[in-house]
Amino acid sequence: MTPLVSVIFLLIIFFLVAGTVRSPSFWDIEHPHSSSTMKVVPMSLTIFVDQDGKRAVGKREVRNRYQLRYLIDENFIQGQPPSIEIHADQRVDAHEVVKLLEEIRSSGVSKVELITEVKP
Amino acid sequence: MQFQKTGTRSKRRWLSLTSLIDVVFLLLIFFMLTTSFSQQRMMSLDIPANKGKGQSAWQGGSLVRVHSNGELDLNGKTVKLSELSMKTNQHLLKRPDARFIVRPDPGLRLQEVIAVMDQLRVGGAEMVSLIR
Repeated sequence: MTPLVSVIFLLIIFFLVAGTVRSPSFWDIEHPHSSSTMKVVPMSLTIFVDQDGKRAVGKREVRNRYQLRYLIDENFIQGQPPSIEIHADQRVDAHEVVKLLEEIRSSGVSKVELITEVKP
Repeated sequence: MQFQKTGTRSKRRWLSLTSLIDVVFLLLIFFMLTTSFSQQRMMSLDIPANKGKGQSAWQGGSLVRVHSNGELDLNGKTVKLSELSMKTNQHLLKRPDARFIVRPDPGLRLQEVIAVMDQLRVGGAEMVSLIR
């Protein structure tokens, strides 16, 4: 019995040390691969784009640009625009992401980061 | 000592091994399900320039077009993806403040565009923007 417990403890410690806890995501998103070396810094607002181009801000699905605008405007802190991280699926049409960027720009945000994954 | 004589030390069990294993298994399963081994990195996206406005900061930037068949051109000259970082580097040596504008054709997947932007960054480009 004791060796069994030791092995299981070892496995727990392995998972604790080797992995990171997955952040909750609105959809199951496959991030695009890149060789970027910039570590992820949490931003004040998260936008998800799934493979069909559907969008979500934080935990709410967004159906049109006015809703997106409202949610961005709501996150202004003392007149300062929020910083935004985009979790976009690698299979989505790139134009959907460009359109999203244009809409973000028109609401006055200047700091936008795309989350990518290190190539396996 | 008193308790050594009576032998209570060896008999006393703090908790039963079976329930300990239960808890440890539970923890193991929790960590197995929630851990991800993918390493995430950020890529800063410069906000795209507005279409049709003269004062845009992106005027005079180098245009990288990504065609829907996967071909690329840098300022009108066809380049291969593997050569793009080298060409970018040469371009930056001539014009260190060069900006790059990536313009993908409609219908391209994000991954293919990110691969191009990635190569530009490998070549040393700092300011890379996306337009349509």
